[in-house]
Amino acid sequence: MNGNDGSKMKDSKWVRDFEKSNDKLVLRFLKANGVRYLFGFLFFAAVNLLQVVTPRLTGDIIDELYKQNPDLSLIAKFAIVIFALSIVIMGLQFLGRLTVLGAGTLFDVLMRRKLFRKLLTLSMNFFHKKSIGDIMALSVNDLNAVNRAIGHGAMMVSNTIILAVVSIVAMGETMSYKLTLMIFIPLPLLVFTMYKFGMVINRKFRKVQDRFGELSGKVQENIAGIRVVKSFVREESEQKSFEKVNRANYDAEVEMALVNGLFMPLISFISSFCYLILIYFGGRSVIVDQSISIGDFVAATSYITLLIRPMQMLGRLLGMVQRGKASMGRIYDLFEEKPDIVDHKFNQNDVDIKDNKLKGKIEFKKLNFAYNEKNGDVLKDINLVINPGETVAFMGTVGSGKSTVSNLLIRLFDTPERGQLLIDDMDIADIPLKTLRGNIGYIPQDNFLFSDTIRYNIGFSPDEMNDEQIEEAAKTSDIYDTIMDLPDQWETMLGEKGVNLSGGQKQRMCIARAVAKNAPIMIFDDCLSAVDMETESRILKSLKDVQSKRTCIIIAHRISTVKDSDKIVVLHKGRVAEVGTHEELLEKQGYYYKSYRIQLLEQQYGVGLKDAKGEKK
Amino acid sequence: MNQTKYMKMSKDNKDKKVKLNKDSFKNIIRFALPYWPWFVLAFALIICISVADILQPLIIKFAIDDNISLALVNEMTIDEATKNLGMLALVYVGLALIHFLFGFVQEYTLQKTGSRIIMEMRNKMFDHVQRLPFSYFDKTPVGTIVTRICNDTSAISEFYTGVLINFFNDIFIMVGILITMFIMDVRLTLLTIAVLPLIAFASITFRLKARKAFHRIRTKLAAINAFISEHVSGMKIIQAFNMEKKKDEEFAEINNDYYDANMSRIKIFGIFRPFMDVVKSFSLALVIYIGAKQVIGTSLEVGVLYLFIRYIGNFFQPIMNLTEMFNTTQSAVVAADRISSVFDTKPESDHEIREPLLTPENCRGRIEFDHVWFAYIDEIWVLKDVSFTVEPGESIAIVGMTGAGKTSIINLLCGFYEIQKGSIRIDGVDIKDMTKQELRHLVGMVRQDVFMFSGSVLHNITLDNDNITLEQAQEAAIMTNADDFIRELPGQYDYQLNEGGSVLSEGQRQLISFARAIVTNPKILVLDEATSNIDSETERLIQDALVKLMQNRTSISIAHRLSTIQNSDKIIVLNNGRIMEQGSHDQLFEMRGLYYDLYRLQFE
Repeated sequence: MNGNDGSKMKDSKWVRDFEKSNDKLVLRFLKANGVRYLFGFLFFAAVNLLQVVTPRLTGDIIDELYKQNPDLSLIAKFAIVIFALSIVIMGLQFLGRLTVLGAGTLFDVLMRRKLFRKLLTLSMNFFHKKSIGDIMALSVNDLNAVNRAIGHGAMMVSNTIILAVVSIVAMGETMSYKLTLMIFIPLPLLVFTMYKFGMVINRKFRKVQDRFGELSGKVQENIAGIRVVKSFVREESEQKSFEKVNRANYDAEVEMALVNGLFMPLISFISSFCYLILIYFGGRSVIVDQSISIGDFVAATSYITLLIRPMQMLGRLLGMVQRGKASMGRIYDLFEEKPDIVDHKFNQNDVDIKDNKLKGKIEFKKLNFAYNEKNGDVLKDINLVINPGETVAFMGTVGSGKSTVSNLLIRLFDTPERGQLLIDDMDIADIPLKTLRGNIGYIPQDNFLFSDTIRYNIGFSPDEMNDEQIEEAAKTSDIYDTIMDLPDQWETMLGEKGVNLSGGQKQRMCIARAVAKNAPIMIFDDCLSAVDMETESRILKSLKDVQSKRTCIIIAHRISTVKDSDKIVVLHKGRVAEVGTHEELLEKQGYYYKSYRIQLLEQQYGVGLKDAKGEKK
Repeated sequence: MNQTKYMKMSKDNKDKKVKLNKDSFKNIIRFALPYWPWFVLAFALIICISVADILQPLIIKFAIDDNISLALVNEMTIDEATKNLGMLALVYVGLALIHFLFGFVQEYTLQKTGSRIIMEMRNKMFDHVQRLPFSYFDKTPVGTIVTRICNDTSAISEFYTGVLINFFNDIFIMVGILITMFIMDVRLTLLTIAVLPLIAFASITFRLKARKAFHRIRTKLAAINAFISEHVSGMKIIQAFNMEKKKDEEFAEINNDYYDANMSRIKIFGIFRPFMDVVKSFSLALVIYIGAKQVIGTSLEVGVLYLFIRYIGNFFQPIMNLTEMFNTTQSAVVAADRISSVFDTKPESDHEIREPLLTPENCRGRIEFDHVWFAYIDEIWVLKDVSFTVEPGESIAIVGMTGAGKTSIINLLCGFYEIQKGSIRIDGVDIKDMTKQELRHLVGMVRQDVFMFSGSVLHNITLDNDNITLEQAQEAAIMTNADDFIRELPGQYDYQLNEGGSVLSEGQRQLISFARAIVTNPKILVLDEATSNIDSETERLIQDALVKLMQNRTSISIAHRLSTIQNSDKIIVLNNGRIMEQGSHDQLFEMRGLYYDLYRLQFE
């Protein structure tokens, strides 16, 4: 309980094998944990064997009472044994649950780890098509279902089988097998009913789940589109269509209630026939041919109770296993996803990169790119050479393809044979991913930070980073003073659990993170938009040193951000519309010139970012 | 066994301390009140079942004491005893039959009533949510609202079906068994009750431990959920920084924490259940010994002893059930609390439904903004003293830089937010005096972000309005140049769009949203032009459609296209929430002011 028990598990060999394999996981797990399950099985077998003793003893006591001179001390001994047995049973029961249910939990923890590890390898295309909700459902609901099947399910299987055998044998030994079999005549009917019912219940259950999914889907969509609904006064028809799916959900629930309501009472009803047979035929045996004693009769009533409980569980067990199987199927689906962006193995050896360091030359050769075909090409026929140490800015309207440039450079997407993107004269796809990304300091548009400490967020690197590097990066990004003003300084938690930084502070934090990486290529993906002009110029000034040594790609809207770049590229509808320095482009009187004038105008009329906030709602 | 429930809860519940709020509890009961006859029925049935359950062991007692025992000592003939046994066996099955029938009806009634209440609660909530103001949706995430309507209500349903009736049932069974035991033998009964304090103590201790364990599991699970959700959103950064391996290790750590939390729960449950059996066995051993002593002293029948042995088992179950109900009740109260908070949110201020002053038929479409002041929050004015008039049939274009307040103007005209000062009038009627529905019927709207519902193309044009025929929808689509590409879709107007309508291109979705706006033929059209990148062919179709849209209508557009401006009768230049200039293109152009600059830069 104390410390990390879970971490101990992962050191054994089978766990490592398990982590590597992607198929027959349940089987592999059961095999590797065979001994464990065997022990669990033995524990439960012992529990069940002992459980049968109590009714037997009770019967013997009753028999003793019918004797001429009942021996009270013997009865006392029996009573003590009954109590002592329960303590032993408690111990065994505990061990059994711990081994078997623990196995389910272990499977759960291993699978979740695999799941997350898989997610880490998948490419952006996957995350665009799968919602976070779907992924979370896999990790929570589906894994839980599998866990239950493999833990509780296994426990119930062993309990049912053992108890059935033990109690039938015990009863057969005390009475006669003929009477025992007679009493258990209703059992096959019971099992059959349960099996059939189990299937129906599962079907109904799935229907309820589907309907519930539709219900929440409807609400989800309605709320997401509520502004349209309200604008078009469609509240009433939305209400009607919601009531329809709500009703369908209700109907499914009622159907479920019907079979559910029938299930348990039916089971007890069928099992009451066991008692009927026992009372009449058993009772007759006691008095007519006296083949069984009255104590046997009493013991038999307890045996029936003992046996019927696990039988009732069978139905639930079936559902559990089926649900577990369906969930496992969904998990396998995820495991079968192939990442789009991978290292091409055969090329890896051809590429010789010294110390995994790139120089930072970037070349676009007749590059075309589309995210998906129906929306057309986002980049069209891009030709551009960026030399090591150069700073190149990309400008353009929304949708002009600016951000695509950065997505391609960090290879979040591949450029399949429609022109080339070269880095250090190598095709980008031939550079090992680790090397490529290790050589790029990337600052994203959405200034994403993790809910962890500031130190963690800036020193965000697979290699250890020392404090000076982190501090240096913070200073360069003009965030050092802000950090120092926080009560916990470097240890300040960010995000949900800690302080919430302003947009500008977050952007500077992201810049620091990339700067700390000390990479030959820097990409600023529209990342200075939320800082005011003064801060921007301060940051740009301190970045100057950094920039002069590295290849810098700056994607921006603001003239002030890009004007000092060696080269400014204006993209328009995916094409390069203008290229040149600030002065050259102003002379051209094209798009760049217009932007320049608009931004001057904005300054003149005082519409800055401060005023824009109100409307950003 | 309650795990799934906890999983569901954990998403929102996180670590919030659970308070048992009296008012929320009252709310739960309030929802159920109209259904009291059904609950009474279920209750009556459950009483019958309990009686049958208590009687069943009695039958066997009679079999032992009044027949088998007597026959054994020859106080009764074997034939008579056999006959009696047969009768008793049948009575036993009869009782089982009662249990079966009543049990079924009871369970079904209860489940059905529970579902029914929840269905109505959901309908009411959905209806309420539909009438909430925009500001509510601005600040409440979609997922939260979905959880309120779908999941929180389920938690309450569990209370109705699992607690409300069963609580009384368990109490009844306990009391029933107790009374029967007292009638049979007072001494043995007292012996049985002797262990009650121990049971109560064990149950309470266990509950506390279990609650702690569940809380720990919930916290760890919430941490896992938060981690996964955060890292899926930040996957781009993880991969760009080569952090896969480190993140994998971080995840392993919190995943292991979750494993430990689960294991400690297994341990707690693994001790409690068998421990209850130990207590039961103790009580059993005691009763057997003392009972046997009495039987030997002939002050007790063997059958009575048998009865006690059976009852001990039945007596303990309700106690364990009762402690478990506490959890369900707690979840239900938390859920009720959240649900109440939704109902407590005030809907958009609205008037009583009456004959509308203006209908799309009699509306002429004259719009006046009269010294309008507006702020989303407190006194951060987004619109300052804005006044302008649009005559019926006129088109006006609003231009200005980002943050000038353009979108706010059209939001206000649709009654999405309330203004603080001044008034907005349509045909001389203050929009404050109209119902929101009435107002929005007059205004057709094209939003910048086109939202597509899952459903057919037709559904996306009519939005389920039964008054619109297929012909009218097609007419609208033809007018907005959407008809051509719709006809090329498989199934045409019946073509099913999935969520977000992602099979269509940006431009195509805009064309559909045009059709959606004019299909009801509103007299007023507001248009927030999207600035996204659209291929030139579709762009031509859009421009052409825009011209047709504005014909014979009063229109206000936030213009990003030169063509839209050229087609307008009047232009309003907005800056910093104030109107800087207004007039025709020529007038404004000659002023050489802000418009002149903007025009030359943006549109030339």
